[in-house]
This record gives sequence, structure tokens and C-alpha cells, in this order.
Amino acid sequence: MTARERRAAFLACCAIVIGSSGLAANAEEGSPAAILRLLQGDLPPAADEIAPARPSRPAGPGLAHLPPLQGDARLEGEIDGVRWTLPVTAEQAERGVTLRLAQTSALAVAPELSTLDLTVNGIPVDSHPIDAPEGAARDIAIPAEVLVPGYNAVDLTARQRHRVDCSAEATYELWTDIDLARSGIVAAIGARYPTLDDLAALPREPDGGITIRIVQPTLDAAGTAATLTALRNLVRGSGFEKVSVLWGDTAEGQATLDLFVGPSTRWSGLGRAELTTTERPILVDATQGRPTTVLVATDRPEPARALATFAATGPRGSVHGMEERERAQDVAVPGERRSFASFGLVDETFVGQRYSRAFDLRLPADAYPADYGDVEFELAFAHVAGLRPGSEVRVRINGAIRASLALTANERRVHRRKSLQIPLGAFRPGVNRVAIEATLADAADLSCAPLDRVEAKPRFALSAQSTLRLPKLASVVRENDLAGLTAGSTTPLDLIIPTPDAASLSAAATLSLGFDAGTADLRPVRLGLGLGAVEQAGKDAVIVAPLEALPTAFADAIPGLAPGALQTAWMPSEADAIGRLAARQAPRRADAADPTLEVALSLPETERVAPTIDVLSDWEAFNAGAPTSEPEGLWETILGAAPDLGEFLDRPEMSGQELSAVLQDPGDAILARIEQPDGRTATLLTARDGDALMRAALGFGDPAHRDAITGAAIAFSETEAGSQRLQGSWGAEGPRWRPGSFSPGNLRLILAGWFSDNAFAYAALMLGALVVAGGATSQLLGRVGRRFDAEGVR
Amino acid sequence: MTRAWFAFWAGTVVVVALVATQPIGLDAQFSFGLAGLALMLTIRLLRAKGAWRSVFLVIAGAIVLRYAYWRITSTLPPVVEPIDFGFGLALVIAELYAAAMLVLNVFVVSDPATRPDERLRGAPESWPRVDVLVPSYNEDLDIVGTTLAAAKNMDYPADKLRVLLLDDGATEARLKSDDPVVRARAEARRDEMRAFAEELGVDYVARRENAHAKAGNLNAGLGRCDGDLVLVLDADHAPAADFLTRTVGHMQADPRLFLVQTPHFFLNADPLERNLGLHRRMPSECEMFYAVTQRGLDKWDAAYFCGSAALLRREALNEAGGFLGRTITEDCESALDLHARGWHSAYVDRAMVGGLQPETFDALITQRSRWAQGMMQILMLSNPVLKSGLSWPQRLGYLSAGLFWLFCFARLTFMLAPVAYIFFDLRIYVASLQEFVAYTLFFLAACLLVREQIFGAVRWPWLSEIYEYAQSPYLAWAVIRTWLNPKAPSFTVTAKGATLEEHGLSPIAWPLLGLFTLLAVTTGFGFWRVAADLHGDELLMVVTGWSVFNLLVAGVSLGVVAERRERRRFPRLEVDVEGVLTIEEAAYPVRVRDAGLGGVRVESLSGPMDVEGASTGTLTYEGTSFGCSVAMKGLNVRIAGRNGQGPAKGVGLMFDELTAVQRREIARLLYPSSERFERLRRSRQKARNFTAGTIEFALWAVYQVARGLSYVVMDVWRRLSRLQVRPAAIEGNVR
Repeated sequence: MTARERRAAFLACCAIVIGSSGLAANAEEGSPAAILRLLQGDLPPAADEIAPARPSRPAGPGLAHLPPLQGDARLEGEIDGVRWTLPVTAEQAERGVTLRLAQTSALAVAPELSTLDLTVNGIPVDSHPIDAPEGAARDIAIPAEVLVPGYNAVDLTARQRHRVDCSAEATYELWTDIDLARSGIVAAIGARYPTLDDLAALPREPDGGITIRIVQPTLDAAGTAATLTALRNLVRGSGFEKVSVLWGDTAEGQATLDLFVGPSTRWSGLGRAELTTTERPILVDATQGRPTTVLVATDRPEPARALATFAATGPRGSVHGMEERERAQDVAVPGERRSFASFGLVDETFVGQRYSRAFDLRLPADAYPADYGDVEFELAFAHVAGLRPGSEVRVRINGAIRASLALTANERRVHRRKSLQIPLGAFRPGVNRVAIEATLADAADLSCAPLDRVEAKPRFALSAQSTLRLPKLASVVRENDLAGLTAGSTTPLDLIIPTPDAASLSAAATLSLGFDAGTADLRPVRLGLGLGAVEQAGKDAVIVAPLEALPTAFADAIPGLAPGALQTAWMPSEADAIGRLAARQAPRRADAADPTLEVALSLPETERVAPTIDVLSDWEAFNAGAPTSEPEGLWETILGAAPDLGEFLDRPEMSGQELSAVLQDPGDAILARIEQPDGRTATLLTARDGDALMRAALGFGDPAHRDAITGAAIAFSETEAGSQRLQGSWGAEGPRWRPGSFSPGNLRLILAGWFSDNAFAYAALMLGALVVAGGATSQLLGRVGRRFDAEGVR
Repeated sequence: MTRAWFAFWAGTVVVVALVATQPIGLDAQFSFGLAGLALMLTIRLLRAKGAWRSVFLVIAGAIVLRYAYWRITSTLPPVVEPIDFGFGLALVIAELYAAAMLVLNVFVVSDPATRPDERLRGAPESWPRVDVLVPSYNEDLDIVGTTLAAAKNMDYPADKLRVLLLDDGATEARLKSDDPVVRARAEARRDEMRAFAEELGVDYVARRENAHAKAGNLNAGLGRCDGDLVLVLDADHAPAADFLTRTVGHMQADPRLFLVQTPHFFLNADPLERNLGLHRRMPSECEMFYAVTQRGLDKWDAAYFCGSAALLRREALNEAGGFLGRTITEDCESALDLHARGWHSAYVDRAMVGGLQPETFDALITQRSRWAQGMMQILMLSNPVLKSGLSWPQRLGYLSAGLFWLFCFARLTFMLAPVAYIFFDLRIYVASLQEFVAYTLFFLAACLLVREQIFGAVRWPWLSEIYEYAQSPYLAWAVIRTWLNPKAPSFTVTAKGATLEEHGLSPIAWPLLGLFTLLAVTTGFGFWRVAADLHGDELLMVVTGWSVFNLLVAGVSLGVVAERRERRRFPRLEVDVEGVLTIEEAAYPVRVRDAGLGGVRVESLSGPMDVEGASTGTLTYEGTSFGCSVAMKGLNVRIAGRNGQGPAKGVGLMFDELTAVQRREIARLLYPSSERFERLRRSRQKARNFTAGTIEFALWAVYQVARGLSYVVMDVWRRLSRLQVRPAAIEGNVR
């Protein structure tokens, strides 16, 4: 069968699928009914059922979940807060929305003294007592006056007091959980999202993510590249925080958003072609009752240009909302003094005895933080007189107390610029959690009468004009560090999909969205299909494939694993492994000789055993009515097996120093920096199977996990209970790095950083150098100036 | 080969500098500081010599460099807080000055020269002719006469030795002064001095006027003689008999040598030694300079002229146009000029003159102010760094000598900085306690170790701080005046041979009293703040500790300005010759136990002597003193120092009306050989254990504060009672 014949067969297959669903179908290529059916699919009854790949917890009908929280959903202690952005459509902004906050609080929390305060775009909207020991949901009306179309900033602050205990220790018993699965915008399911700008307000899934289903009629390299570009532009323009991509050309998948990228002839018979104009070349089909669909025609230049413009413009929203979004990607600039206000903190007074406010400080991913410099804090705060000894202000970095300042016990003090220096070594590249804490016990705490404190006066105030300043940072490129993948680089990247099946494409697309994080513009990505594309790739190549699609040498090159370890772990038996390994040799040779990008459609008939033909063979078999190797269908298999991805990755607290040399367990999937047989390096995402591959890609795409991606190899695994584990490794050779720049200043800082991390080496080196210098000095002194012996001057 | 070694050395220094100026973390700094100090201590405890001495100094240099780098880059207050920044910058500059001086000193004394003896060469007929110039202004005959007599006693062919008294106290201008008192004094002085000079065989030279002070006087003397070499002796610097035999040989050995400088050795106590009761216990203050620094300078051919006890080559002086007088430190200025002309200098580390130093605190300040002003003038008018013809070591040597006098500002800054922090909460030192330990303590420890290693034998612990602090308020003003007008300072003669009839506060004590009060209040307030803020600012505790140290220094300094009574004008030297004392026709065989310019003390060899106070008689003795034959016949004496009645084993005798010959005999008895001075000098050059010295320092502080305050009360009481007691015979005239 020639490529043309196979293409015709594929298109015919689409029609058959449509016809088989029972709707009016026309097997003719480009049938309007068929495409319509393809786009409509089976509609889910509720939003939280859209993507079974995500946590599916009960939610009330008509409840649209919220984007991911900027922080922990548990509000602890006497004061704690969480911020996030609330996207609304123009219509919602005009009418106002109702926000449902589901919460559960500790029994110790005294309702009379505890409140949950909500502000939207800096304007107080609601304050209600915290009284939910058994869980409760509160509907809060957010008036139209405070909303603007797009993203709005929401700040939720819990102020909690203990019912009976006034000790500082008791404050650790205070907590309120925000139940994300039961929170959201009420009655948003019925909302419509008729324009590109409205897409930002699409209901999120319970974990705050969104699933986009790709519908691509023709699986060729050019079409796939166009689809990928459209996807990235759409995500960038809409501002979706956490995206899972399902690459499928059937209507069986379930998603929040369907993205159709293909020739407009595909829907020309739908009567919708006329809806696209030169001014509005992208068609957003927001038909009630089914996923919003975006149709991008590839046979005209306007849609692609429009999407590019959409991405370049970026999402919109209120000033507070956009600041909040920018903060998530905000990388601190060395030498720049930043106020706490720029991190979202506000001037605040505090009544209790254990104050804590935290924010994220993001260091550049290529930073090499060590003790060659100090982060200089200048705190502006005040406290009352009468504090008991032991009261202090502390700065906690990534969970560890790094600086403290005792508070004067017997007098009121106002500090306008109290300086605290924290060595840079306390920080790490990427996100650092900075917490400003104060312990403020006074005599009244000894004679505990909680209810008398209703009128208590503030003991402490922190000004948002407090500042911090980063020193100059050493820049290093960790050549074998996966952090570079999400480091905000703008250099072109080769995305190689050796076997462009649905799982690989989905994983690659999901992963590619992570490349754009933190960059002003989309990172140039060159798509390569087929294993042969590996050889043509540049120095930044990312290979996405299940293990069985990879040559042995690739798996054996994974740092931290012994050669063959992956095959042993992931292959059920030796015979099976041998069989699979043997089967892999043929396509590898064929791919090596096949430079074309249209791998899937140009493979010779005899080589269909290659994994790359999965999609095509399934479609052909389905079209012919013959039983397939995947009777339930490729997508059903994938989606049906998808576990609760929301908990796939707990936010790991990893840093380069904690990584081991050996991967104890390869888990289910591995992301690694490998050295290819020809000596070039590449990033490899591989998994036990396509299912795990997709889940791993989703994990990497999650912004909450992005900063934890470090080391030469990371293994993902999950237990039977559903919890997941992430383990990193530098491999036997350890981190391999080179200077980010060879400027004297950078080299000096790198050297200073290394010395700081290796104190004894520094001392030894210095003493060695000094002993040599002393010896040289002695020799020189014997040769210069006057020298005397018994006979006088020599 | 030397170039190769220099290149290698420079390479190691560059590597060390690069590594030492890395902005490393506290752990690395702490590790290095600890390891460095441990190695320094090991070298010191093992008394390792040779290359290890250099290693010791290089490690100290690296610790200092790291501290300086850290202070500049990490501890300055932000510029946006100008008051904090200004005070912080002043403190940093003061510390950097101290660090720079340490480095300069380490360079200067990196390999002190130990010069072998250079005996006279050839037959005496071929020896160069020597003119001895003794400039005088207001010193009395007891002082000048002894110096002239000792000069005449020097072992050198009489036909090649000429002594000139350059009397600026009786110039024609003073003889014709409108002031009758000045005129009368000048006339009396001229008659007395001229007569004595003629009797002694010394040339008497008096100028028309006192132009260009000491330099002018010396140049006038140069014009009245033509010897090959010139020995300059201050009026109170009596030379030992072997002075020329130990110095002229150096001139013979090197025809391009313009100077042979020898140490100034003082027989009496300076105010600090006397008032703290440390005389003859601890090394003299000037020993730090003469026993170490001048030897270090000699290594680099940079030993310079110190105004006296130095032999100079006339040819070189003629080339320079005589002694230079642009500044009031003509000695250093002249040496600088001659070094720049390519002449060499030598330093012979053997005390060969016995001199007097200022007895009172205000006289000391007068002297030191002149030195400070003169060196500032040199820096401003003839800067050694810019002067052509000098080698770089010479430039650094002179620079070190000049910059030293800025210590007054650094010391005052160190003393007052805690006040700014404790009283006014000025953030002048941005650092944590950990940083203070890792940097500042190691820096201080390294400085102390270096000082102990280099100067330990000649300077007890904490004495430098006391000397510097006690002078600082006064010298600071003198230096500032010089900055404002470099040509304004005038030569002020230092008073010598003064006595104090009663205990009392120095008339210029009030600045130190005020500072002590301020520091005491500051320290008390600091303690109050620490106590009130138990868990408070850790830097406050450090600064309060610093203030305590300052208070101790100020407390001891209070004792320095609490002047003890001193009734003896001239110090006594131990002698041991036998003779006969005849009093009212009774002859007593006696042993002369000590002697001075004004008298002797004798002990009877045959039982108690029945003598009355103030009775007169004669003393005859004969014997040897340090290998030199001494004999005196019929020396008129008076009984002194006897309060009681009845027979006495030992009595003090005062000289009456000495003739020139008798003065020569007294001088021979006192200064027979430089060996006398050297023994005294070496006996005092003993290192003091640091811990014991520190404890003693603290005890001094307690005692001297009590003594100083009691003097304050006494002074106030005297003023109230209109019983003013003034120091006698202090005369500090200004030319």
C-alpha cells in the first residue's frame, strides 16, 4: 500500500467511525456529518468526569473547579493564607459569580475568634467564622464590581485561635483545609466560552488542571508540527497552568477542550466555515453540552497567525490577577532589591503569638547558590512592649530557620530596616519558600482566657515594604541536569518521537508545554518523527518513547542504572525481553536509514511491525471491521487504565545535594539525561509502557513539580495504594557541569561557591598555597636586599 | 636566578591573592582561619626559624587580606543611610589603615638585618677626621657638659676628633632681644658655655639668629669644621667611649655610605614608664623601632637618620647642601634626600649613647607632636612614593614611617566607634556574631600573634594600645593643623631633665579625662542595654565587650596622666669602684654604687659613717668601669638624701662646681663603653607572656583608674585650696 492509499484509508476510517456511532454518517472524505460527530463526541455528564485521567472526586453539579492554588491547601497556625487566580468570562465578570469554598477545620479552632477572609483583586469580599470541624461549604457571592474578564486575584486568609489553650504549642493544632474537589464556581458548567479570550475561564479539573484533546486528521510530520504549535500557542494565550494532552483522532476521549487542527475542508460541510473570517480566523465552537472545541484550519495562514498573536498577547485579567500569575514565573534578579509587596504580601498586623507569612522566591534555574554571597533582608516591623523573653522574628528558608532576631522584651520597638543576612547556600535554584515568622508570647498567654481576646490588640506588624536583595549569582550549566529542560531556555529544541503513536504523541505534547514555562516567547521546537530523527537532532534533543521502542543502548545509558537493569525490571520475562529486544533491531535499522519526518505514513509494508504503525494499523483494522490487537481501542485502553493522576507526583523536596548515585528502583517511567552511542547527549523520557509514559509527561508538565526536576535521572513509580514516588539520581559520575559563561566574574563566583561547599578543601588549598608562598618569600628574601655574613655586606 | 625566584614568588602571591579574595562562605572562612592560626601558633611554639618565619607572616597576611576584603565588600552600611554609612566607612578606613600598616610593617621587618661589627681599618693616621656636632638650645651645663665631656672621651685620635658645641641658646639675636629676661639668660648662657667649652677644648659656635632651627644650627656647625665625617649628638646624648671605633669602620667599608645610625638609649623613664611604675621592667618604647624596625629598614637600605647618635659623611651632606630644613624633622628629610641621591645608610644595632627622654606627659606630647607634624610634612612636601631615585623598598619604608603617625585617628575611631553604636544605635558594622568570630576574631588573633612574633621581645602586650591612645587626642589636632598648613609647624625643643615636686595631674590631662568619662558611661549604658534585652542584639554584646576593652585602655591611660613625683633630675647608673670620702676631716673608705650627672651614692666599706646632711667634703676614687680605667681626685661633694640623724652605711652625694676635667672623669665613669648600655638594654628586652601580660593589663586598669581619680580629686582640692603645684623647670620654648 502506498502512502497515498493509506491516507485515503485513514480518512475513510474516520467516516466509518462516525458512521458506527449511529449518527447520520457519510463515508465520503470530508463528510460534514462525520466531522461534526468527530468533534462532538460523547458528552460527559459533569465537568469532573471530563478527564478520567485526573482525580475524580465528588463535586456538586454545576461546579467548575478552580485553577491550582499558589500554595498549600491547608491553612495552618494563627494566620495563614493562600492565593490563586480566578478566571472568569466576560459574561461572568458582568454578572458576578458565586464561589463555593468547601472547608474542614480542626476541632480546636474557636469559631468566635477565627475567620476566613476573602479578598478579590485586593477588595475584601467576605469574612466568615471558621466552624467546619465536620466539613462545610460556603457559597460566597463575588459581585461584578470586583471582577474583570480573565484572571482575578483571590486571597484567602485564615485567622485562627484555639478554643481552650493559649500556649504557643497549641497553635500547631490549628488548621483549616480547603477542599479543592468540592470548591469552585457554582453553576459554571452551563457557562459558555465562545471566544478565545474566554477559554481561560474554562472549568478546571479537581486538581486545577485541564485536559486538551488533540484531533488531528492526518498523521504526518507537518501536520503534527502544526498541531503542536497550535496547542502551545493556545495554552500560552489562555494561560492554562496545568495541561494534560490526549492526542487522538477519535471522539472517544474525554476532555475539557478539543483542539482540531487540520484543513478547513474537514468542517466545510458543517456550515461553520463561514463563521471564520479574516478578523476571526479561529473557530471556537462552544455548543452547549459538549466540550468547547477550537478549530484551527491549516490550509490558510490566518489561523496560525491569529493563534501566534493570541499567544504573544497572553492571558488578560485584573492588575492583581496578572501580578499573581506573573509571580508564579517571576525569577528574582540578582542585585535587585525587591519589596515583600512584590511577592504578594501586604502590610499586616497580627494579634496572636505565632505569626507566619510565606512567599516563593524563584532563583534562576542556572544559578549555583552557595555561601559566596548573602541574601540581604531588610525587615520593617514593629512589636509591642511586654513580650516574654524568647520572643523573636525568624526567617525560614525552605523549611529551615536561617536567621533569627530576638525581640526586645520590655519596650515597644519599630524597626524600619532591620538587616538580616542569610547565606546564599540556604537557597536552591528554582523556587524557594521564604517564611517570615514571629513568636510573640506575652504575660496574658499565661493566664489563658481565650474569649477575652476578642478585643485583643495587635502585638506585631509586618510591613510589605520589607525588602530582600539577591547577591550576584554564579551561573552554571548542569550538562546532565534535567533542570535545564524547564529552565526557561530559548535555544531551539528537537522533540523526537521515535514511534508516533498516541501515547508517545500525547506524552511529547504534554511535555513540550513545560518547555515554555518561564520564557517570554515560545521555545523553538523542531519535531522529529521516527528514530532516524535522533541522528539529525541538535544538541538539545528530547526523545519520548516507551522502552520497547528504544534501542538497548539508549536504556543502558541512563545514569544511575546498570546496563540491562531497565529491561530486567520492565520486561516480564527473559524470553519476552529477548523477543522484544530482537524485534527492536529491525525498526531501528530501518529508522536509521529513513530521514523523512512522515515516518508513520511512509514506512514500507514489511516494517509495520514497528511500533510506529500502531495508530495506522488500528485505524485500518477498525475500518475493516477486523479484530485489532487493542479490541477496546487505543484511547479507551489508555484512558481506561489511567489512574488518579492528580496525586501522581507529590511535590517533592529535592535538590541536587540529596540525589543519590544509584536509582534504587526504576519505577514505571524514567526521565534522564543520557549520552547517546555517538557521544551526543539527549533527554530521554521512557516508560514501562505508553500509559506510564503519558502519566510521567503529565507529572513533568505540572508547574508544582517543575522545580523538583533535577538530577541526571528521575524515576517515577506508584504503589498499589495510588501514592507515587519520585527518586532522583546523578548517576555514578555525579553532576557534570560547566560555567554558564566564562566571564571572570562568573568563574570567580563558581570557584567561590565550590570553596564554600568544600570548606576543608579551601582551607587546605589556602594553607598549601601559603606555605609555598612563604617558602618562596623566604627564598626571595635571601636574594634581595642586603644580606650579611660575618664578613659584612654581600 | 633572582628574577626567576621573583617571578615564582609573584606567581604564588597572585594565586594566594586570588584565592584569598574569593567571596567564600562562613564555614570555609572559619576553617581557613582556624587552620591558619593553628599553623601560626605551631610555628611560634616550636620557635621555627628560616622559611617558617616567612610562612608565619604570609599566613597572617592572608588572614588580614581576607578580613579587609570582607570588611569592604560585606560589612558597610548601605549608602542610602548616610549617617550609618559615614560612620561605618570611617571605621572601615581606620581598620584598613591598621591592616595596611601591619602589612607594611611585616614587609619592613620581614628579614631584619643583623650587621656584623665593622672595625676600623688601617693605621690611625689614615682614619677619617670626625667632627662631633652637639646642637643645644636650652639644656643646662649639667646636660650639655656631660655630653661634650663624653664626646671628648671617645676613643679616637685626638688630632682627628673635633667637638663643636652649637649653642642656639645664645645667638646674637637672643643677646639683643628686647625681652630683658631672654637677653639676660642668653648672656649668662654664653659666658658659661663658652668658658666651659674653652676649658674642655671644644669649639663654641653661636649663630647670629635661630634660622631653620636644628637643621640651621647643624649647618652652621658644618661651616665651622671640615672633617670627613660628622657625628651628630643631641645635647643630652652622651656617647660611649667606643662609639667611633664601632661606627667609623662602616664608613671606611662603603664609600657611598652617608649614614651610620645607632639606637637612642635612654637612661630615664618616660612618663608612661614612670607613672605606671614600669621603668626598667619593660623594654623602652623606642626599642620597637630601634631593635626591630630600623634593622628591618637596614635590610632594604632604608635605615634613616634619627637626629642624633649618628655618623654622617660630609661629602654626602655637601652634595645635599647640608641638613635639609623644609620640615621640622630635618633628620628623616635629609636621609630621604640622600637615599634618593643614591647614597646608602647603615644601622648598627648597638646602643652607644645614653640619653634623656621627656619626663612629663606634656613634654612627651610636645616631642611627639613635632615628630608627627614633621613626618606629615614629609608626606605632603616630599612624598617618598613619588620621589625619584628611591628603590621601592625604600619608598615603602619611608611611607611606613610617615603613615605611622596617622595612628591617632585610627585609635580614636576604635575608641569612639562603640559610642556611636551603643548610644546612637548607628549601624556601623553590619555583621552577625558568627561572622564576627570567623573574620574579626581571627584577624585580631593574627595581628596579636604577628606582634608577639615580631615585637614580642620589645613590646609588652597592650602597651602599644596605651601609648597610642594616650597620645592620640593631642597628635590628631597637631596632624590636622599640619594638613591645613603644611609649612606652618615650627620646631619645638623638648624639655629634658625636669622634676616634679608633687604628685598631680598633667596640665593637659583633660582630653583623656573626658574620653574616659565618655567611655565609662558608654560601657555602663551598653551593659544596661544588654541586661535589659537579654535575648537581644548579639552585636550589641560584642560592641559592649569592645567598649570594655576601650575602657581598660582609657583607664590605664588615666594613670599615665597622673604624674608621680620626680625629684631626681638625672638618672643614676650602677657603678662599682672604690674610693675615699672625706667629710670634715674624717676619711671613709667607700664603694661608689651608682652615679649620675648630678651626684653619686656611696656605701661605707668600714662601718657606718657619721655624717650630717648638707655637709661637704671630697670624694676620691679609682678603679675600672667596663674595662675602662677611671680615677677622680678631690671631687667636691655635698651630703644629700639623708633625712635621718646619726651614722649611716650609705649616703648620697651631690657634685659641687665640676671642672671640665672632672666632668670628663664623671663621663668616663658613666659612659666607659657601649657595653654598659647594651647590658641594660638587653636585660629589658624580654618577652612578656601574653596571658600574664593581659591579666596585668587588666589589673593596671583597675589600679590606675583609682590612682588617676584620686589625683583628680587631689587636683580639684588643690585648686579649691589655691594650692597650685606646678611642674618645676619645664621649659618649652618655641623658636
